[in-house]
Amino acid sequence: MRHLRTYTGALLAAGLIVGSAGCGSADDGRTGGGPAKANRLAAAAETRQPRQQGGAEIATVRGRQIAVHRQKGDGAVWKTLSSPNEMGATRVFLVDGRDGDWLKVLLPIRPNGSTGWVKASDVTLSSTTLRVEIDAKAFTFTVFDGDKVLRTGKVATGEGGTPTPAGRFYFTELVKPPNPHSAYGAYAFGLSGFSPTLKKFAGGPGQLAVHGTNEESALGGKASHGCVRVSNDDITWMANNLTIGTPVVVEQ
Amino acid sequence: MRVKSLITAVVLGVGLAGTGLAAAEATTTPKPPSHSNPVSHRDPSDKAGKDPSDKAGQDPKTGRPRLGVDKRGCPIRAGGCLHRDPNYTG
Repeated sequence: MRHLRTYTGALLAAGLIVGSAGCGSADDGRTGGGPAKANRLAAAAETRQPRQQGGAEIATVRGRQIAVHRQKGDGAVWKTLSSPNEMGATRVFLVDGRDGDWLKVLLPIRPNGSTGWVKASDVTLSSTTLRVEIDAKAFTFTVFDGDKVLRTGKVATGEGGTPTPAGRFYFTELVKPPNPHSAYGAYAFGLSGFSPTLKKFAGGPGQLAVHGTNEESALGGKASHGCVRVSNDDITWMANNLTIGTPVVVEQ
Repeated sequence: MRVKSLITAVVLGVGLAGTGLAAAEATTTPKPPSHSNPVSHRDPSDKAGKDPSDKAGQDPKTGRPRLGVDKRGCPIRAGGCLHRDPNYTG
């Protein structure tokens, strides 16, 4: 019996050791990219302090359209917005507040920063801890997950006559241009904001975007008509890791 | 008697070791996604969509559809990905 106890104890200990060694946590690999990338992220983490560490709520419209009200509980409909939106993507809003059954949402309309109220029952809510911050003075972007820096890179912003406006926006749709060598690069994330100077552009309403480029040498300066250009590697990473509704803050 | 005890101990030990492995695995909590909708976290070096000649949406080695992308190589996201010419301010 004494032997039985001895062997059982030894094997139990061995089993626990094997078990713990074989089930350790693994890195999720999202910050991959080798030592250079790691150094870049570490440097960014030291120099930038995230302003918003909490998550954000995203409201996705349930039906084919949604009624927007100026005030919560207001019987009169202020605007009716379609879903899909003008570009063809499911309509989403960034939630700015909540009061009972009503949600205050950031609207993708002029003027930038407009808000309205929608019924919570008309949308499906999801949340994200991801956000993009664009420093227009430093010509850099940083993607945060809470207080963790996921990726940084260079941007090009609007030239003097067509500046990139500061403000809080969100991604409204993700577009993959048929020609990845066009001025929009590999992907383009539409923004909820608009150019302050261009009311129309290329047949569109002057909508801003974060997109790739076919002229990466221009990154790090003012070169665009208001959009935020990033490298094709960076926009491809964003397309793979960020969803529509992700908050985007442009700081001047 | 000793041999019988030894065999019993080995059988019991193997069983306990297996239980230990299973318990350790069960207590390894998976990392929660940052977004409540599924988000694919692919290799940042993935060049999907950059080269117009690539067979978008297919694994170059196996030719099978890649997980997390549609037939045209666009990441599958909540709200979808549009294949069209943008008209943003550029």
